[in-house]
Amino acid sequence: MISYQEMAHSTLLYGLVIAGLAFVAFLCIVFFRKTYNRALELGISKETLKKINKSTISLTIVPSISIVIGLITLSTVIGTPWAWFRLSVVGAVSYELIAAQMATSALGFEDMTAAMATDGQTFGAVMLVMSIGIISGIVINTFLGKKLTTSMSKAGKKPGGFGPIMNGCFMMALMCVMLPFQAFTGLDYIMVMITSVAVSVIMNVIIQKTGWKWLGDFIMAFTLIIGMASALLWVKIF
Amino acid sequence: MQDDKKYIDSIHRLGRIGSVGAILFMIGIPIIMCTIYNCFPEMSTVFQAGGGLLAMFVPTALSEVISYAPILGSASYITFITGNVMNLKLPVAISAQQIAGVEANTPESDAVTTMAIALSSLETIIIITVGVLLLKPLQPILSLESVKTATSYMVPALFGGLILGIFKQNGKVRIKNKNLIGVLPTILVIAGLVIFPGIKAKQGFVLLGMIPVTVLWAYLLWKKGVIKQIMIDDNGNEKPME
Repeated sequence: MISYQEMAHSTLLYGLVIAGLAFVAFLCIVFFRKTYNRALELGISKETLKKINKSTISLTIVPSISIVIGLITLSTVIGTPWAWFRLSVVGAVSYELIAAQMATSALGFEDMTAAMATDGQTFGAVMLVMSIGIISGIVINTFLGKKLTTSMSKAGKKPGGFGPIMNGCFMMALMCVMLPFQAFTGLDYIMVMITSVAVSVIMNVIIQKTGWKWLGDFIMAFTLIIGMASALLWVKIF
Repeated sequence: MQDDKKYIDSIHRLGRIGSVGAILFMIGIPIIMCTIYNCFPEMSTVFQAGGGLLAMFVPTALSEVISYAPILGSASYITFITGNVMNLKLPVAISAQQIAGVEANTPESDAVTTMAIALSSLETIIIITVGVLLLKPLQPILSLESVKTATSYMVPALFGGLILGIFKQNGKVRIKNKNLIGVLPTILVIAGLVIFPGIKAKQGFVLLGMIPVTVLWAYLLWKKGVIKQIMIDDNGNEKPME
């Protein structure tokens, strides 16, 4: 029987993963084109859409690089192709490692290293368990997504009514939960948040004073990088 | 303009087809691999481990869908297929809505949010692919302790950067005293964290609970006339909504 390592690095797995990623990439392109045209139909200018796209591109770089860092860890356990697929769709490193560990423990192995020294059956079980465990979000959204979004959208249409106020409640609730949760993680987390707020305020002031509107597209990227880099200082102090 | 209902139906149909396709790839790849290499594991083992994971993740996934779908709109399909909701997709959605100057749950916000998240997902796929190609040469840099430390603070850095955009309103149509909506939920969350520190690991459930609390609190404030939708004219003066 094929070994765990041979299967985890097989050409066939690379081929299947590339096909899967090509499908998701194609889906992204179709969604992008459809919604870009829709936004134009709704009267949003090309200039605004260009701004959004520039901001999205700069905002995505840093978190994506952090996923690449996770890829290094995960690929040592489940091989490069499967880690590549898992981190490009749904998965986050923490979940993937837990799932792989649960699968190998159910198979009776003490740790991942022991499992990696065995055969392809173990790797097959790891792949299946990881997939089954993570798809619940997609399945639930497939059934509930339309109902949830269309009912909220209908409620928000009447100007001056409660609908438009309710629409803002979801984002507000998210911030009211996220900020205290981050703050209660530790003083270093609070300082990182304060640094990020300070960077975004300073950049907004610079834009107002200089009229450099183009800088607005990079606020989040700068905030993110400086906020994260400041952590190196805060962890030393606190 | 394309008929609203026709567009909504078609974008959700696309999302559902895409979701089913993604599920088929996720489950299909392991099945094809095990079939070709003739190494199918015992299904009882798979369900034993998979069942535990499902018990852990189904409630979380349910709370995520209910909490985030109203913010994400039709972008929820791509979001749940490509993951990284909190650290990547939500900030991208919030940023797109801020730049376009639109509130969540409007046709405009749905279009720009989905466009931005589709682009972001595509970019992530490309960056990870480049990462795979550069895995060996990049390994020494990306495994530096300082890079790992900085990366673990990504979420507070992100949300810190979003605070200003969420609490400051710029458009012509605004909600007067909007930030008061956040007072009660914040107090409750802080009290919850102080009294029951164990809820730290249940962020998703707390959010699920806080959504109705926030909506109800906002409704009371709106009924009392404390918060209301207003227009800002060219001179910066307030006027009631027509």
